[in-house]
Amino acid sequence: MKGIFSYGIVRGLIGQIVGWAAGIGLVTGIRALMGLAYKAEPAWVVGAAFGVIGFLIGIGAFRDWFAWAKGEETPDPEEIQEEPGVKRYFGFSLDHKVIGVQYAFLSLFLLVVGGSFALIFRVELVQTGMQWVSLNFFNTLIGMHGMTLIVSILMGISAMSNYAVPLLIGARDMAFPRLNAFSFWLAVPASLVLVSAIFTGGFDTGWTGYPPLSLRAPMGMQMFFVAVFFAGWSSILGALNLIVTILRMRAPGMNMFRMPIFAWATLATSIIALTATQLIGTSFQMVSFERLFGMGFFDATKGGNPILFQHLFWFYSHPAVYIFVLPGLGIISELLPVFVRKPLFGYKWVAMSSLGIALVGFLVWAHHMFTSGMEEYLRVPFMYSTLLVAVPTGIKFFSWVATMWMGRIRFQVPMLFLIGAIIVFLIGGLSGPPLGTVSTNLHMHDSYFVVGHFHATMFGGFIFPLFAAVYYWYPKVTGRKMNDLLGKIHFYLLTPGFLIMSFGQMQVGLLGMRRRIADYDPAQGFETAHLIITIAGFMVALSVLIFLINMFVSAKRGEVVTENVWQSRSPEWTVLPTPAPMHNYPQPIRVVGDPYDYGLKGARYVEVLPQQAGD
Amino acid sequence: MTAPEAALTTYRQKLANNRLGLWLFILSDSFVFAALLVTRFYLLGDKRPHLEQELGLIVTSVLLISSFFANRAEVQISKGNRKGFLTSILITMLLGIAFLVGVVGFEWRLAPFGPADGVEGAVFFMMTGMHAFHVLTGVIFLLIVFRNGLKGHYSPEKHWAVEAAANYWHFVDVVWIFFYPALYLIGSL
Amino acid sequence: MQSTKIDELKRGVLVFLGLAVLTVVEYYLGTHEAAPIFLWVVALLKAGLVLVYFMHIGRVFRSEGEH
Repeated sequence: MKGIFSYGIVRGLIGQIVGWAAGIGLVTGIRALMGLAYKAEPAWVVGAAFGVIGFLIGIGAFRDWFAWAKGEETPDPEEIQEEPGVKRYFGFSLDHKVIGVQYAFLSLFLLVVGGSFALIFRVELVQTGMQWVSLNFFNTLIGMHGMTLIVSILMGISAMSNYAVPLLIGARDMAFPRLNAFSFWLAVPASLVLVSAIFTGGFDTGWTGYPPLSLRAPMGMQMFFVAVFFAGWSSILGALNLIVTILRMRAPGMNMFRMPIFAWATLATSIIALTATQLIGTSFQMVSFERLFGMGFFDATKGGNPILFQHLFWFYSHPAVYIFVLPGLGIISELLPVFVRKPLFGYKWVAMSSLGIALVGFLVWAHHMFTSGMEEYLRVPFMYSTLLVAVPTGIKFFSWVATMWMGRIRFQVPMLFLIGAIIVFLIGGLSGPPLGTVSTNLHMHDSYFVVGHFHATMFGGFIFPLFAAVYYWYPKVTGRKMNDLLGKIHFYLLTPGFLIMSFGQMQVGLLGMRRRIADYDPAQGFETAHLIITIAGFMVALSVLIFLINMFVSAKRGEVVTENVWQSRSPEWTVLPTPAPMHNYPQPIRVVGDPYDYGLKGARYVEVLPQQAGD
Repeated sequence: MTAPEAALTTYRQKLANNRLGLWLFILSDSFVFAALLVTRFYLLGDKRPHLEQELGLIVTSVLLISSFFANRAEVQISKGNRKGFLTSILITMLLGIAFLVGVVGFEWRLAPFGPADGVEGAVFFMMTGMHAFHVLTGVIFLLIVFRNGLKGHYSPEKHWAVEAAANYWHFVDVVWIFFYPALYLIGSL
Repeated sequence: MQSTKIDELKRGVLVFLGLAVLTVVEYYLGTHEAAPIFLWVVALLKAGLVLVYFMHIGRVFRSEGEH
């Protein structure tokens, strides 16, 4: 038994159960003292929140901070030598590379869970009429698919940025290693609370949780709110950490314009995540309080206004899509020169375009509300600001195409995924302006066209680059390469599968298929299209299954690599041994050139400084 | 470079990291309060809730004075005046508690509406409640600093915790600087 | 060194007096139905005073921290 408890995650789960029970008991006890009967909703909301805190206490996330509060000293993270082995991946590790891998595992786990939800309701949609799920379960799955994958994406970008950014900028770790581990472990119990929404009645609002429907949805709605609140805090604290790391922990000689593009993209992402995420937390909290205490923010009979919720909600949730795609676009710009053997075209423009997207992204939220009944004079300004996003995004496309132009392209597996990402994101991008334009939006709003557009941006901006990043950095993590053949099968199944799915969704959308509905009129003649979309969806799922098998098998049996697998110029490949050691660079490094000068004679990027005497 | 000098250099680099981190946290948190201000003006417009004007002025003054003492505590410790530092922290904390009593103990009871009575009540209780929660955490933070100060922890060179607690306290004050006119002064009854 | 620290204590008092005066002005404006813009200006002035003199926002831009 003792062996099991030495795994942090086991202690955490026990802590979550204890905390959850304690929260329910506390509320019920207080209500009993006040002479009130047991009521499920407040008890479970407090229980879920206490459960998250219980998990963090159980895993030891607060231990050092409590020690500080008591006035005790704790060891400097740089001096902690954790025992190598698999075990530290299941506990509270301070190493940013371990945390990056933990994030990746959680992300892929949620990807599988959220993807499976989609498969269930895709099967339901093949025929008209209700076949095998109830209406409430269908609606719950729609919302759960959305939010599970949003959390999965947040975890995925944290995985990439946590693992790669300190290595790319030559830092020994993140600026705040304890906070870093805390942000990851905060997301684990939050994910469990999110999944618990299915078992506590579900909810029928979709992932947006609009009132007034969310005011009368079953109790699963509250679990959804609590989960998003904590996952949001995880994202905020992670972003804070990344900003400080990027601004303050760069290797000597690396000024802002010698910084790898991925670090720029992460910086831009983190600025959005740091600030805007508070708005979704606050708006969900307000709905939650309205349900619990009867506060009438969004209840028109009490003088409230549901439109306010949409403003607050979209102030986060639109910039959120830039949180999702910017790191992926950064990955494309980061890895493309490696496989094309040419400098990145227009480095400064690409770097600035990420910031540009982030800043313009704050000014576009109401394009989700053209049909909501908001003030009409807001429509046209928001249409223009929305279309403005195409400018910095276009800069990125020009840069990618110009980088590939006349390059010596090596079609290795990560490169395939980069090309896939560019193509799919182009489709996602081009289907955007019709939705951002008021006149066409009024017709396509809430149709499957939106679904197709959104999935194309997410796959092009996140899923494909994530896979590219995993194939690319996998040897750095494990010391082995992933299987090439399986990687190619993955790619050639995923890309056509996804394209069919996305185009199919756009087509039925244009023909009038509403999103989020469980049933449709057979006279509309969508059944064949829905069947094809569903088959394509299963192709995507199969390709991801192959990817996961490849990942796990290659960890044991993959080809062993020690040297610079991709002939990259980046210091984590040229300086560090493979797999990467704890605390990264044993000797300090200095940046003496630009990062992407592939193919230029005599160009240098990083040099190793001699170890300082007496250190 | 001798060992203590090197340690101080490391401390100062970490201090700069910590400072940036705290400011980013404050920036992030201020978006919550901004959202609540937007809510107040979106829902209530140019009407303001019925509240006790004198009580509002009193709690505002209490919080301002506490901010003055928080600043004084930080200056005192950087001068090496330990006794003055502890006294100032203690006064800050007591004034913070007085503010909480004023808002939660009196204003919440005296208000002619409850949280469920219309949008006025919702906005008022959400804004003051969220702010009071931050005041409470600030008081706890000050209490920790006070206790460690009693044990003789801080020095003129190293007192990041004092600076952090003071800065967090000032932030809570800045929030109230905007909430006070938004709730008590702007608009008509 | 010593003189600047004494100045800081004095400065704290001066800033506080400024805040107190602004609060009185604010209260007067608020209870005499002044236009909201004046109240916003006063609030921004107060917040600026606290940010600059109490929270030392300038320190965050220094690359190496000193108290």
